[in-house]
Amino acid sequence: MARVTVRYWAAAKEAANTAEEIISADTLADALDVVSGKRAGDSRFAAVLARSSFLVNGTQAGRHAPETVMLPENAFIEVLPAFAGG
Amino acid sequence: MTLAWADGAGQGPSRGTVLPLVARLRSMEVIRMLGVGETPLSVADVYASVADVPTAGGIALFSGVVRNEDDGRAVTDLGYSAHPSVETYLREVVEKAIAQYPIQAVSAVHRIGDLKIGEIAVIVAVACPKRGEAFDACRQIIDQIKDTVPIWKHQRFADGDAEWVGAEG
Repeated sequence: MARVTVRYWAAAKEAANTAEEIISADTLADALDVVSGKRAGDSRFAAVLARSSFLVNGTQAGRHAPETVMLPENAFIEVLPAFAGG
Repeated sequence: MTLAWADGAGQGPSRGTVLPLVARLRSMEVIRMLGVGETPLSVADVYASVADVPTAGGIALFSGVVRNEDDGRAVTDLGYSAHPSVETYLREVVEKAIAQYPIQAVSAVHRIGDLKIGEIAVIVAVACPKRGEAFDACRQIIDQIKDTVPIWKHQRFADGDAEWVGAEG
């Protein structure tokens, strides 16, 4: 499995209670399972994550199913909560 | 984050978008102010940035301001923050509108940092030959800024509570 860094922004940072963590995962779906599993029963984190979009090494992952997004070693996942500009 | 009102000219291509050269040149020419920053926004400055085009017959300008209530709860102030890639996505929204409407000049700027009630959070100004297309393009740009540009709003209430707007549904 790849060692990957997950960075949380704004509401996600607050809900995750950390700005960044390092986990092991092969795909984006795996990574989301891992970070959710670490916070099992935390409905706020789950709600924020469900409405978030993701960047993998700076590229939007949203157009692909998370289980098809392979994570290279030292991948950098960013969790972007729902946008609220304007 | 520091203020960087990018001039339309001299900007590299935005990530994730490949515009044909002609479209790219046109967008460089018509984008006047684009970016996010902590400095207070001026309607007069943004208006002036799009008001020098002789082919424009209508200028639509939208400003979003901080309101004192949300869902019946008294709001005291707001904090806006943005992802470092924010300008790339803001530019994509503006370029999409340039490709769809006869835009002669356009500016889109968003404030970040702490804002008080009544302060301006965002201004979009669009100059087109006629009013209908100016209104439509301006509306599309502000709607897409809300949907697709990575900006977050932290809302603080008079009762001491606070929330990230929209983050939990």
